[in-house]
Amino acid sequence: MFYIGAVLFLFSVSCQGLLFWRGWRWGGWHAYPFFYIYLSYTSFWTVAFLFFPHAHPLYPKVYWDSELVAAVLRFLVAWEVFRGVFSHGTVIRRIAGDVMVVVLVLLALAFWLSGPTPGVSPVIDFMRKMALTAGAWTVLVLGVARFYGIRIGQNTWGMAIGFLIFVSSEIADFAAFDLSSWFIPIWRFVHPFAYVFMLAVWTWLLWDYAPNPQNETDSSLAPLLLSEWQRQSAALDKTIRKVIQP
Amino acid sequence: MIQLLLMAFIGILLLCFALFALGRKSRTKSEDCSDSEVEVLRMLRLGSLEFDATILFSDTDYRLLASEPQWRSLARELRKDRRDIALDWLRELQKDVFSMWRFRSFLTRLGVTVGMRNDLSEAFRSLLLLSLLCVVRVSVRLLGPYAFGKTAVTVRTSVENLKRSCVATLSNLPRERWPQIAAEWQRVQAL
Repeated sequence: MFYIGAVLFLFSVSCQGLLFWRGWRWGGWHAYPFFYIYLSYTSFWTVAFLFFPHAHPLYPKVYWDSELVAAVLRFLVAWEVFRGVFSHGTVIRRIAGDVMVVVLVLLALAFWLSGPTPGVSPVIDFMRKMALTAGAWTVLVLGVARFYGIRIGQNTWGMAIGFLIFVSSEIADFAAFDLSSWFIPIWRFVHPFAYVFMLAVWTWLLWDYAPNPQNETDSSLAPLLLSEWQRQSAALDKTIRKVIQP
Repeated sequence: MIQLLLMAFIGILLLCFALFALGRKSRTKSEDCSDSEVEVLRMLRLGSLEFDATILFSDTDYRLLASEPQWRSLARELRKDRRDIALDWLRELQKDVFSMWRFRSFLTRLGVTVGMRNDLSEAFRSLLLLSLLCVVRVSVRLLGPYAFGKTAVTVRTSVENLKRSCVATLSNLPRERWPQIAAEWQRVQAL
């Protein structure tokens, strides 16, 4: 048990180190600042908890407070995915933003109407709901991008999928904890493993700078086709008028 | 209890979705080789391949308009406009083939080569494609775009294959050298 924990810890620290190193090499901090804020925060606590004595009376409070802040900061990753997929100032971004707001408001309304789950820790309940919201946000971004045929770059895709693996495991983990103690031995491994897996996916897909192809491609044909289309559209309009009023 | 069960179910569902998406991505990664392709597209600016010309060569809407006597002139107008756009696209395709040919010889000049035989066969392929494009352009100008839908798709696929071959040649170089090559290529083009 101890060895598995140690291996997971060492692997996650290595992944975090690699992510920072690669980000520094290709300018990831400038390209994805929100993502790196979250990563810095979690990396800080990974190291800090190494030196924090577990038997200290303040340990549980510090641990759960840090988790609560992390649950909120996860929205930075979700936001990074959103702004990575939809370029600034585009119509699709506005549409996706509207869809997102509606769904998040509905989700908040559902949480408010259902109230806190009776007999469970409010912290766990809060974290579960935050994870569900962040997960729904990411799935929506991927869904809208798929609907409009937007190609997602490797970096953003990796961020989204890794993040989804982690938040989904958190939702299932915290729900299973409260459902029955029978699940605890299973999810005790799945959730930390999902975290390490997320870091591995991020390291793999953020190794090099590969943004959204849509933002990067310079189409020399686009203005030409646009002018042709405008000409065609004007001709069509003229002819339709002629047909309607001969 | 129901809320907790629902949450656990959603969590597992999302987890399965994420793992499935990840599996699909890693499977298709080698097929679309997105990184290298984006890099090459950026270097060469292959605008023609970003445009799906299938609709351009389809005669469905033309037939629809031509079936109504009062819309015949509109159909003729549409056909003429389609022909002009198709010709523009074919010209861009021709430019891109030529650009890739030049890029390949540029790579050979830098010492990136996969053998004399391969280089010759690629040059022959490019030449053949350029000739075919000339013939297709003349045919489209004379006969209109609608008879050449399949030919256009074939030509486009051949250009894509040519691009893949460029990507494969470029992949022989370490990625660290790519920005340097891109800069050098821009300098060569500016001359």
